[in-house]
Amino acid sequence: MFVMQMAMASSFEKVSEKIIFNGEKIFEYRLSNGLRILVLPRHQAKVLSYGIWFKVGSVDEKLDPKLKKTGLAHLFEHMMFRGTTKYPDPMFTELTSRMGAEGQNATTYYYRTNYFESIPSVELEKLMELESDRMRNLKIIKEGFEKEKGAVVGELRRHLDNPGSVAHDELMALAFEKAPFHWNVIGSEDEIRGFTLDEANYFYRTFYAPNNATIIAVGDIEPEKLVKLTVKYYGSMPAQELPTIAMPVEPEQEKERRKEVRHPQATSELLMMAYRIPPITSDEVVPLSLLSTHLSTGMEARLRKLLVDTGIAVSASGGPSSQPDVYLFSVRLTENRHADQALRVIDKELGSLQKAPISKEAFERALNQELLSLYSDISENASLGSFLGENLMLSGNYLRGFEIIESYRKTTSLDIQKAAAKYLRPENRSIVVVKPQGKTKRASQPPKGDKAP
Amino acid sequence: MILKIGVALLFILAQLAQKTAFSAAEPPMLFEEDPSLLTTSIQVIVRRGSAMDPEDKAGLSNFLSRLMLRGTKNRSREAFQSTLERLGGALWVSTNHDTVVFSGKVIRENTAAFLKLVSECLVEPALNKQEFELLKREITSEISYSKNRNAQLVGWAFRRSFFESSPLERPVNGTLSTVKKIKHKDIQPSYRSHFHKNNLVFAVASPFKDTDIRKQILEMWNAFPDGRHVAPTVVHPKLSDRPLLIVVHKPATSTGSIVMGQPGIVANDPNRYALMLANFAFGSEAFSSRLFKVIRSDLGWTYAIHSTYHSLGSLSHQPSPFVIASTPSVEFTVKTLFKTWAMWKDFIENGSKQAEIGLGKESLIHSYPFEFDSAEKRLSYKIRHLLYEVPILSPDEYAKTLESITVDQIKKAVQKQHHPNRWVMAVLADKTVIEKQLDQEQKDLPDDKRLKIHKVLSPEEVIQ
Repeated sequence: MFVMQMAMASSFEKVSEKIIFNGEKIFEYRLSNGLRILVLPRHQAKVLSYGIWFKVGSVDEKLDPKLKKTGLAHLFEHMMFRGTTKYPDPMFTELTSRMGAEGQNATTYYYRTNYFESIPSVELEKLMELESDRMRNLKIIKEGFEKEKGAVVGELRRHLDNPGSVAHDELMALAFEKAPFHWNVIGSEDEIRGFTLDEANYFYRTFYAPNNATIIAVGDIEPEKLVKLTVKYYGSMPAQELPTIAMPVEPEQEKERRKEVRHPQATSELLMMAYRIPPITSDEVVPLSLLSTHLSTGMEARLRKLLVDTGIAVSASGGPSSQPDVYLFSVRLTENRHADQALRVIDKELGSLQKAPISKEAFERALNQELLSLYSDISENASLGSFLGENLMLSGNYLRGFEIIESYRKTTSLDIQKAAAKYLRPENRSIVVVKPQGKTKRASQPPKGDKAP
Repeated sequence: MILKIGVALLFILAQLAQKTAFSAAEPPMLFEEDPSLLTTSIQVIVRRGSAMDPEDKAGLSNFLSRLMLRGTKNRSREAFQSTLERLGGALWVSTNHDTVVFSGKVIRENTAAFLKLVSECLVEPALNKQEFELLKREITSEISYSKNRNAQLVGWAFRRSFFESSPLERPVNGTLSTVKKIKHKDIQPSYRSHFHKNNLVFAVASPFKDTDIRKQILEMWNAFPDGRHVAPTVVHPKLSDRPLLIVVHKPATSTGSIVMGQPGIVANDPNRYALMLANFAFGSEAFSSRLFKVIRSDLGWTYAIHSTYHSLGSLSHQPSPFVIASTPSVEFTVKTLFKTWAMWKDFIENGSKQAEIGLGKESLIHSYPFEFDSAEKRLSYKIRHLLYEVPILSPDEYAKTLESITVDQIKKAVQKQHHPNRWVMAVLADKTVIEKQLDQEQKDLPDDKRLKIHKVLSPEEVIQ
């Protein structure tokens, strides 16, 4: 039921109160303008982690008829630190610094953008005032916009100097023909330099709306107090109509795709491949996640034993990622070794996994390593906030990560075998091999990372 | 300024400050108990690191410690690692110039069995020849692969020039030539030099009372022979009064990687807090420092630029360098270098402003609780206090210490510690691009006043 707050423009509703496996409680509320609040109280220290998550990322840009480009979601994340009328640049960062804010930053990915910091809990109200102010009253002016483009181009250049980042961009472009995962998150240099103030204003007014946002707080805070402050600082923000752009359906992949890329900074080969898999909401992701631990975690990981111990690779890993929904393998080859060698080894191992279940000991190892990883993820306020936020943005269910771990206990080695057989097939994959460029190269020419079809 | 830190923190800090000493009867054991923890973490700190490796076998400490994870006298590597990982545990090692640190973590219900395995690994490592050969190939492959990593290459090039002709000249994991010289017969003597009673410190963060854990650690410690701790040689780099510019030549980069450094301080330097405040204002604060505001926000030349005193958080007796690092777009590489240098000269000459230091004080005092807000962080502080006498101050003491420092004292501390021009500057980019930019930026200067490239290294030379 919605509770009316006197003298406030908004009301709120308590949606749920959930107990997670270690006995801690997560409270969920929603304001009448659509803003969602998740809060997990922890009082061991007088600090808390505060994050605000927007359900907008690079996939929302290219298909939007008012934008048709990629990179604004990320550039805009930078702009959010550039000041408002009340708190002009650099007051936001100075004031949060004065509070003693730790780990203040923001990130943009395909499907979401988040802003976060940890603060002494007594500073919460001031922080919420600042955060809500920049969500509504950002001053987007040409001078700051153009300067920030320079910093973002610097970030892009750094990305393009890294053969691994370029391999990932190329792999997604190869694996997805229609879905906007085809384009990298940061955009191309031309796109970044070409964004206009009108586009920035449209993006801000449309997507930085309360009905597209979730506040997640973990630490020394009582839920009622957080809700009261949220109503005070975010309650009067009007909900916005969000664009309803249908995500193109990516056609079933029917045959293997391959691409070779030469990179001027690479001195040895790099193999990356992506198998298409179902989304995180599917139960089939559960055995695929356990398989990833079997293949990639620890000294006993299969890929380590088969590729690193044999001298073929310096590192090797494989595991599921969501949005884009792919099972991603990454192998950094030893100098003078070739990607084809690694591919043959992986194919042989996947063939074995599809024919027979993994041993009881290997299953136990994978399960307990998953628990160790989960326990580490949730031990710190900031990492738990991030865990909840990612699950919410990916699946609409902030408890999804805990549900997957719980499902491990009902999963069998046979389920892993079946999932490997169903999804880790050559015709369901795309492969990118990065090779050194060789001797004929032009000096100071940035590598080409982003490729539109 | 009003302190906004809870009473609980005062209690924690009082406990932290209890001195743990080195004695003949038992090792230094540091504990943090937190019943809400779902895992137990252990650190075993060996007070001998890569600085004591033989000059032609640099990387030996790192090699030894990684080999120790590959099986024990009673279990093959596979048996050891699969048992440990089936427990929901992980054990890894990191080598520094003064220490080797074994770190482990396990789900809480398997704590006792995990500690037994850690003991087996440290007391009875197999150190066998077959694993030695496999590891040697792995480490040399990793070093070769570093040619793909520009930040690592330029860091190593900087280290080589900054610490020239000292044990700190080489990276902790050695270079291709020194690792190749390490023989299996070197391993046992190295193990004996590292692992004896007087070289070990134990630290555990756990949900349990320390009684049982203490007993297990004592059993482990008693299995080691007696020995004499050898204090590391402290290196004080001698730099020229003119900057030394090293270029790592890599064609076709779209960014330039810059690392520039001056002699830094040890963790318990008397001017620790004054220099911390100076660095906050100049380059360490993520969004408000001078470097960030000018080079990134105003000029837009780079995504990242910051400065740091490495020693403030590291496990080392060495006065680690004060370092500024940045990755500007390649066309702004030399501009960034000169602008940073000019800003530094101004900072040395004119000092910081009252407002900058006021912001620094407020920020550092208010963020102080984050130094102690988890069991693992409290443990880390205890370790640094024990090994390097890093002071543990109550929130009031910390606030008073920082509040009492004046802008003038900060300026004097910076001028005493630093020099306007005494830099080692390492840049990774195309050397022809750097040469052109140096000419362009210095076209109005006479030849003898110009910054010139002292040395050009190829990536192969850096890792050799």
